[in-house]
Amino acid sequence: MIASETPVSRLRVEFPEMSAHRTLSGGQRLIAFLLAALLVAGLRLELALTLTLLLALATAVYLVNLGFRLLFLISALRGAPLVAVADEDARSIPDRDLPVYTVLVPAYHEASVIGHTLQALERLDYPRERLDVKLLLEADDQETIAAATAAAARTSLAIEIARVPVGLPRTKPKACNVGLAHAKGSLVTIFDVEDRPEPLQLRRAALAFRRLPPSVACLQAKLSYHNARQNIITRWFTAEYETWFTLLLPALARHGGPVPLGGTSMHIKRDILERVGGWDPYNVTEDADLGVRLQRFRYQVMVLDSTTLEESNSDFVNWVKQRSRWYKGYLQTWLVHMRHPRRLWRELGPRGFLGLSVMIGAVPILQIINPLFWGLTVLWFVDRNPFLQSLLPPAIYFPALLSLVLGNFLALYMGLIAIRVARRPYLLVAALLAPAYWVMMSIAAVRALLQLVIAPSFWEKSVHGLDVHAPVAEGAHATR
Amino acid sequence: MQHASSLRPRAGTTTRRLPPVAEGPWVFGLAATGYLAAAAVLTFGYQAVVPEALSRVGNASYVLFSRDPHLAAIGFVWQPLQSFLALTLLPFKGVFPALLQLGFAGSIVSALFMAGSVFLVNRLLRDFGLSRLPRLLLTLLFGLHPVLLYVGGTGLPQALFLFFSLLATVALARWLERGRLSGLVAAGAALAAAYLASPAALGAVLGAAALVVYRSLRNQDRSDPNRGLTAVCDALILVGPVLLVVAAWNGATWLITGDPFHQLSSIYSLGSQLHAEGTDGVGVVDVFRRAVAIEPGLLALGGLAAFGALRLRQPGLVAGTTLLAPALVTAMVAQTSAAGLPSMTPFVAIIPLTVLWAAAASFRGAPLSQRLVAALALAVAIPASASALLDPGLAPQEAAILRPVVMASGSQQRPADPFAAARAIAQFLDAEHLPAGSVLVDSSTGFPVIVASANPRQFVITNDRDFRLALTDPSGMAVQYLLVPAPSNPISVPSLDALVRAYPGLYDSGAGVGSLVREFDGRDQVPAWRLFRVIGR
Repeated sequence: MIASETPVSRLRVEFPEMSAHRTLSGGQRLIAFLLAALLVAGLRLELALTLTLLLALATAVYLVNLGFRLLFLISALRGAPLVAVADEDARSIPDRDLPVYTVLVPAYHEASVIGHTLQALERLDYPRERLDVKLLLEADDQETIAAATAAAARTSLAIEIARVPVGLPRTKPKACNVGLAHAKGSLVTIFDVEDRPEPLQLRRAALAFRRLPPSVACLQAKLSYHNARQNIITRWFTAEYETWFTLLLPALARHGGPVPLGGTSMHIKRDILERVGGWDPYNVTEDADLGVRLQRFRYQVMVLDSTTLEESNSDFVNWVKQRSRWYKGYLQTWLVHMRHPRRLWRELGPRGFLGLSVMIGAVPILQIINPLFWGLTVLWFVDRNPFLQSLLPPAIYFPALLSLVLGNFLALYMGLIAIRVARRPYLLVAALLAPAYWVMMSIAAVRALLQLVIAPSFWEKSVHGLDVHAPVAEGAHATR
Repeated sequence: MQHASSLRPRAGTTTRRLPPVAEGPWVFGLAATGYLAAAAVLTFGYQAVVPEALSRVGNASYVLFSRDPHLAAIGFVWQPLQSFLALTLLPFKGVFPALLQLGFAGSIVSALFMAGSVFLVNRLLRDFGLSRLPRLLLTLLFGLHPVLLYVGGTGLPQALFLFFSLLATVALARWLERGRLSGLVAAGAALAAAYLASPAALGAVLGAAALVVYRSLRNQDRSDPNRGLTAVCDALILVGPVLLVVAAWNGATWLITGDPFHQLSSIYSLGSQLHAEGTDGVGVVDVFRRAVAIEPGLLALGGLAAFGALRLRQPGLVAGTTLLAPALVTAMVAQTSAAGLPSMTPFVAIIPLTVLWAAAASFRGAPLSQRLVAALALAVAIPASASALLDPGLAPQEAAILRPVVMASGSQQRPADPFAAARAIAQFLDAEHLPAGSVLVDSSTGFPVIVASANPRQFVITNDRDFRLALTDPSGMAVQYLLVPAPSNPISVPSLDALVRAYPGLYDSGAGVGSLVREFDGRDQVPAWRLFRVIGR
């Protein structure tokens, strides 16, 4: 057992400008204040002009977002490259050639689930003596520590239980940093307690890293859900994940955009991870942030063709909490990296810069303004309000109309293609009913914005174990 | 390291690697030159301008140059794609006035897309594995078909329809062969574009969707409980883009005209009008006679092709037949139900269909006699359909354009200019230097006058948002003139004119709103138009 006293945020010490310890830098506060003042002044003095400019700005963001999605769809249809390692190749590497692999499993209040977690890890096909499994438990979570100690004794794995010191911020990345400080492996990955990684995943990743150029720092495995059929929320969530991991993420990686990593099953070289400062304990989507940071340090992220099955959130309130955290984290990530926009532009290039802003930073904002735009659309056609009509000159009206029609179509159509590619056609009805899911996203986005102001680093934990039945076989066909 | 594509839901059948062929660009270039030359000869040599084609270019011009320029001025009587594409050329009308005045912008669009169709047919034939000589021969027989020369040379939208249907065929064949979803998406997008050229594309969409469902079901394990849903997904991926454009285009039509199927209903009224006027009946027999006149060899080839298809299982043939045959049937049914003009051009789908069947019948290793029969059956179509195009009984629309051309080419005389009256009116009005909105005219009948005028802003047209107001109260809206087509006007259907319908007896007496200023005669001294001055209240 490790009783850890290591600093939890090297990032804050080594690269303070890249840490979300403070949400806004001094300069950003000033700019935010000036913008707010300008907005208030504009609304008071030149209402119509200000509103027209706001509509134009929103339309431009919508259009760039639409352009990226179209580009990614075309790229995916042409066959976006996933890093694939054949089963035979993965199995045939001699054990002595495999690196030591550190598997971090952060958990908090998971006493009931932790036993299953260890069972899932036991299915990993990797030499036991080269596997460095660390359960990262909060020092005051006696219940989980007890359950984990008992379960660990029953497995063939050598499991180390690391106690994460109590104190703020109490986040998953903080726990991971504690694990990282004691990691023995040259490769590191994270699995959540409810994860069921494909057994050959570690072997595939290890071999892929050997074959790929040294600049590839991280391989993100695909994530999907084992309880897709549980209810409409899990169906929606699964269809969304399939779109993200089978269509968008590989295309994003190909086009050199910053790849927001998934929270688990990302396989990363330890030396590089340490060089870039580890995880940011103050960022509630430390995964997305790390993807961007790697890119800024000129490392590459690619998508590994291997699937980890997770438990999809099945409860409305729980889903909204989780999604709010993600959106809050997206905003944090964007704000952190936008502290020096010119430097960011230099480091990521124009496409990466736009990609970060539009595919990560703008996502929560678009979710917030979506309902407003739907309202405006209804008002436009039903009421034919003359004031509204005066706000939309043709140069804004037609692009906005295009983005309304094509954007919504594309969102539905990509879902359709994704479930077909993932061979989950039973999600068809959910994919077609997705607009109701978008309403949930908007609710979460509003909540995220409020939380960003009130409690930026507060981690709202998702409850696991809500899947009523979890047949292991289901979804296995999605695994290669 | 292998790079696996994530978008290969099933293991594709083996792909033949074809050697790179450089003939495609040549085929396109030659065909484009030929069709553009045909368009130039018809338009400038013989003034052979198809009123429908000119009207479509007129619609494009209202978006840019009318008194009330707005996108919806494109009009909702016809599918919009031809006008949209012609619109991109209209800014050059200053240098080249014929682009608008003779509708040559539309002819350029049609010529280029018809050349694109020739290119695609050539490519399909290459995918069939036909060797160079038969491939080029069949391509040539396709490209020289008189109906295609007519369509490509006069600015009719069937060139777009043909191009996008063939593009969908190529894409769908790719899906059949390799099972990649990109083929389905591309086919769907091409069909959506085809629908924006002609509603007959809906037939092709149904055929394609049926084929996709069938193949998708056959490709999967019978034991798979998700078999049916997977097939539905595949069909929806194909149909999705079509649903989008139907929703967008017909939704816009509905918002602006109040009737989502304005295209159908207004064409319908046109068709029934023709009936009422005693124009050729469009019975089933007539429709079949027209189809056979275009491709007399179709049925013979069908038999040979069925035989060849069984041996070949050629994806291009399967895709082409399931797309083009239903599109043809749709056009035929539309004509029998008087939803289309009595004309041969709506049946263009029959031509590539016949060529594909001829190709299937002359596969590699087929007896020479069979290959000769196939070529002959195609060759026969050229003289047969050429004479049919000149037969007013079979092709009244086309014969009206082409007979004067043929007669004039026999003598030294140029045919009489059918738009002389319209040009005279435009000159008369332009000389008045009227302010914007002075002349009330229905653009669906008055388009020849509007496109001939140097001052298009002087007209209040049907496409304007205040047309209704001006029609009910001309003097209140500062309208000075009413332009009314004569019952004998050869170009338009005068009884459909909005002014004639609003004021019965307007042409004869002025109906109390106008006093006659001048009558303009058309060909052979037949009255074509009357211009009335609005009587103030």
